[in-house]
Amino acid sequence: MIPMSRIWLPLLLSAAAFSQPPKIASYDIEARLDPKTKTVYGRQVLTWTNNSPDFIPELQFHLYMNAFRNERSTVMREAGSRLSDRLKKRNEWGWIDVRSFRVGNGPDLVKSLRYIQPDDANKDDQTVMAVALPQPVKPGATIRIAMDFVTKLPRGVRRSGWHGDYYFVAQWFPKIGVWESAGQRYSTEGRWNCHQFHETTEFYADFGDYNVNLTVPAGYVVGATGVQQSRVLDARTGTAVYRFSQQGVHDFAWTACPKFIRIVRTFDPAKEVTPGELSATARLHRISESGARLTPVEMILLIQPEHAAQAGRHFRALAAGLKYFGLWYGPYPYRTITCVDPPYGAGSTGGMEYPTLITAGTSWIAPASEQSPEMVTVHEFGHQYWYGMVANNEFEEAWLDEGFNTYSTSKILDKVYGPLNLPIHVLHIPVSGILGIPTSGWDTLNRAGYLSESKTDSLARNSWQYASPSSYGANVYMRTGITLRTLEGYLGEDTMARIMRTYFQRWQYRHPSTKDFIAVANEVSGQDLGWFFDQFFYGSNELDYAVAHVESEKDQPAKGKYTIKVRLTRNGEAIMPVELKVRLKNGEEIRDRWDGKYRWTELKYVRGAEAESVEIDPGRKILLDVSYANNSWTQRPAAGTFAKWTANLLFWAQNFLLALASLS
Amino acid sequence: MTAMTAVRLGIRQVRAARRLVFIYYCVTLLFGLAAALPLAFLAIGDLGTSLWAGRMQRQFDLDWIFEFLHRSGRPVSAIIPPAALVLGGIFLTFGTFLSGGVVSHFARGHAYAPAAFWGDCGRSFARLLRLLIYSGLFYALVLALNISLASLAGRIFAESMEERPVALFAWGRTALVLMLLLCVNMVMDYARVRLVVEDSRKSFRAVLASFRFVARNFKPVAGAFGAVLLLLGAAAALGHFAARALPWILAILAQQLFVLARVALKLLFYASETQVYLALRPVATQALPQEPAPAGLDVSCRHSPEPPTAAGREGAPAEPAEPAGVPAPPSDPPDRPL
Repeated sequence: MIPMSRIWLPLLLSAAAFSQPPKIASYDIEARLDPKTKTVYGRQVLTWTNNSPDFIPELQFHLYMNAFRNERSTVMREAGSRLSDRLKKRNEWGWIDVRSFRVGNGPDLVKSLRYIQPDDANKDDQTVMAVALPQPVKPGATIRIAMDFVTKLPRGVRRSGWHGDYYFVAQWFPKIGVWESAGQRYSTEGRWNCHQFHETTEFYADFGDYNVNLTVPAGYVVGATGVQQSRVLDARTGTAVYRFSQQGVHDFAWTACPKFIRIVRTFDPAKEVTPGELSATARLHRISESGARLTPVEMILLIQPEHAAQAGRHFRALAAGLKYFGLWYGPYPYRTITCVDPPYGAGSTGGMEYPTLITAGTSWIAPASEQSPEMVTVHEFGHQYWYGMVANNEFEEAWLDEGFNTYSTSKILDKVYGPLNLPIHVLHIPVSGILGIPTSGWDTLNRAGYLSESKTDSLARNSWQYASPSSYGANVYMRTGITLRTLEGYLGEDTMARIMRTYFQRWQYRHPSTKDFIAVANEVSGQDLGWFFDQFFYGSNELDYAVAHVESEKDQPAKGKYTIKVRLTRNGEAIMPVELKVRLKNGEEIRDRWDGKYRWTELKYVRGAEAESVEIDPGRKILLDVSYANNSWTQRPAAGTFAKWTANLLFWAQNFLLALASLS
Repeated sequence: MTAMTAVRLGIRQVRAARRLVFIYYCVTLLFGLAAALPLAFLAIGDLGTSLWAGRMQRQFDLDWIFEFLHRSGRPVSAIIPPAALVLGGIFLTFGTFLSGGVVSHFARGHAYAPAAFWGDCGRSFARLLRLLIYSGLFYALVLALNISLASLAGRIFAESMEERPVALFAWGRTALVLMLLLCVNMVMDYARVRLVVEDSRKSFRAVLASFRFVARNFKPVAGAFGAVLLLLGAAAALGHFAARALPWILAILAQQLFVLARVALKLLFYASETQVYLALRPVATQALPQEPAPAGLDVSCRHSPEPPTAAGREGAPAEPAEPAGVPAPPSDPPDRPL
C-alpha cells in the first residue's frame, strides 16, 4: 500500500514552488556614506503590515549598531574586554541615533522612543527601541513610518564596520521586530519578538521589498543586497548614487571600497547540471524535470586585488552552492548573488550572510587543499536557503540555520572537493601538508567540534544562553550537523533528502520552529521520530555503544561448530538502534541489529568458524557515537600499527630532545 | 685555519669517537623511550583490540585523535606539557653534563677513555650549568626583541588592507630572530669550549670572551657552524624523504639512522668548534703542552701552529692579539693544561 503522503506530497511541493514571499516589512531607504566620519546618514520609509489578528499598540525596532556604542552594552558585557578594548583604544565605537519618527502624517514621536531590554536587566543596552503608537495598528492594516537616522560605523566588529577605506554596512538601519501572533512558533498570545543584540546572536525579521539609494564617493565600488538598478554620477559633489532593489527578503546590507575588483559571471544551469542529475533529482522527489530545473543567476564577486588569482575558486564554490542547494531543496529564486571578499584586517566582517549578499574570506596564501575560500563561500551561500528563505528565529533557534547549513554545506564540500588539509598556518604559511597531518572529511571536523563541547550544552538553547561562545559554535553548528547526518544514517539518504526538501519547500519565506521541522521529518519518514529529537535535539546525553566481549567456543556435541558469544554494551545514556557485523574466520559475515535499549545484550551464533572480528555500526552512520574505538573487536590486534606509532613517537621525542640539546 | 679544515678535522675526530656517539645516542634513546612509551601505552590501551587500529596502519585517522582527546584529553593535555618540560629539563641538564666530557675529549685528541671522559664531565658540570643559565638570558633577549618587532609590526600594519607586506615583515623578522638565535647558540658553544679547554670556572666571563672570539674570527667560526648546520639540513631532508618513501619497518630504521646522524652532527659541532678554538684562541691561553695525537688523527692544527696574526686567521682583519700575560683574578684558578 502506498502511503497517502506519497500521493499528496508531490502536489504540495509543486504548489509550494509557486509560493511568493509575503510583504510585511518593506523599506525605502536613502543613505549617504561620509567616509571622513565613517558615518551613514539615512532616511527610511517603512511600510509595515499587521498580518495578525491582534491590535498592536506599540512597535519595536532593532538598533543593532548600538551594541557598539560603549562598553556597557549587552554584547560588550558578554564579550568582555577583548571586544571593547579594541574600540575604546581609539574611540572607534559605533552607534545609531534615530532623529525623527513619524507614523503616516502624524507628529514626530522621537521624544517618546525608549530603549527596552527584553532579555536581560541591562538598562545600558540600547539595541531594542520601543515606541507607543497614538493608536493601535488594526489587524490587516498597513502603516508607513518615516525615520531619519544616523549610523556611526565602528571599526570592523561583529560583522559590520570599516577598515581603511573598506566599508561593510550591515545591521545598520532601524529594523522592525517580528510580531508573533498566538500559535505562531511558540507564542501563546500576540507579542513582539525583538531580542537584544548579544555576542552570539544574529537576526530575525519579516519579509518585504527593499528599494535603497546609496550615495558614496564616486571612486567606490559598491555591492549590496538585490539587483543594481542604476548608478548615477554627480560630478559636482564627486559622488555616485547607486540604486538597489530586491523583493522577498528580510534584510539589506551593502559594502563599498575603492579597491574592489568587480567580476561578474553567470551561473548557467544548462552547463552546470547534467541531464542525469536533473532526472535523478526529479525521480527522487517525484517531481517533473521542469520542476527540478534551475534558473540562471548572476554571480558578482567583489574581490581584493591581493586575492584576484582566487576569483575562479570563489566562482566555482558559488556555482557548487547554486547547483546542489538548487537540486536538493529548490531553485535559487533571486537574480543575483554577490560575494564580498573582505580585505586583510577586516576578518570580523567575513563569513557572513545577508539576503543575496555574502562575505567570504581568504588568505594571501590559500592552498586549494585547505578549502579556505571554498568552505566559507559555500556555507554563506547556503544561508540563502537556511536563514534567507527559511527564515527561522536565529536568536532562539540558531541551529535551524547554522546547523542545517553545516549539514548541507559539509555534504557539498565532501562531494565537490573531497578531503581537506587542516588550515594550520604558521607565519602566514600553511603547514598541515609540511607536517604530514593527514587529510580529513568535514564529518570528522564537525564531530571533533561536537566532542569538544558535547557535555556543555544541548543543541537547543537560546543563542545567548550557551555556556560560552565555543559551546554555542560547537553545539549550534557541528552538533546539529552530525545529528542530522546521524538521522540520515538511520533513515537513509533518500528519505533524508525528501525531508529536507519538503521542509524547505513548505517553510520557504516563512518562520519555522524546531517542532515544524520535526513534524515534516515524522510525516515524510512515516515514523514517529520523537525519541530521536528528544534525545539529540533537546537532550545532551552521550551516545556510546561498545563491543564488550567476544568469545568463540568449540561446540562439543556438534563437531566443527562454534558458539560465538558477542556481548554489546550501552555505555552512554542515549539510546539508538545499532547494526552489527560479525566476520568469521572462514570469510562468512553475519549482519544483525540490536535495539540498544537495555544496558547490554549478549548475542549468540552457532557457525562453522570462530569469530575474527565484530563491529558495531560498520558503516559509520552514527556520527554521534562518542567512541568509534570501542565499536569493534578483532582477534588479531594491530601490533604493526602500535609498533609504527611507538617508533614515530620515539622519533619525535628524540628530535625534540636533540633540539633542546643544542642549548647544552 | 679555514672552516672547512675545522669541519674535516671534526669529522675525523667524530669518526674516531664512535663510542661517544653511541653513548650520546643511547642517552637520547632512553630519554626518548621515557617520553614515547607512556604515550604509546595510552594509545594501545585506548584502541586495544579495536579493528580501527589495523585500519590506521596505512593512514592515520584524525577522528581517533579527536575522540581520544575527548575521552582523556583534559588529563592528558594537563600532564603532557609539564611532563615534557620536566623530561626536557632533565635531558638538558644531562646533556650539559656530557658536553664537558665531549669537548674535553675532542680537545685532548685522545682515544676514548671512560675514566677521563666521565671525570671531565663531572669537573665541568657546574660551570657549564651556570653557563646554561646565563645563555638563557641571551636567548630571552632575542625572544624579547622578537616580541618587540611583532608589536611594532602590529602598529605599522594596523591599517594594512593587504596581507602580503605583513607576511613579508613576519618572515623577515623570523629570519632575523633565527639568525640571532643561531649566533647566540654559536657564542654559547664557544663559551662552553673555552670553559672546558681553559679549565676556567668563570662562566659569564667566558660568554663575554666568546663574544669577542666570535667577533674577531667570524668567518671561520660561522663557516664551521654553518657547514655543520648544512649537513644537518641535508640529513633532515634525506630523513624526511626516507620516512615517506620507505615501507614502515624500513622507515623506522631510517628514523633511527637520522637520530644517530643528528647525534653525530651534534658532536661534530663540538669537534669542529674545538678545532677552531684551539687554532685561533688568544695567545695568552696557548701555553699548553702538546700531547701525542691518537693514531690516524691529524692534529696539526690542534694547538694552532700558526701565529695568532691576521695571516694566521684566514680572512680576519689584522688586529692586536689579546694582551699576553693578563693576570687572572685571585678567585680564578690558573688554567689547567689539558
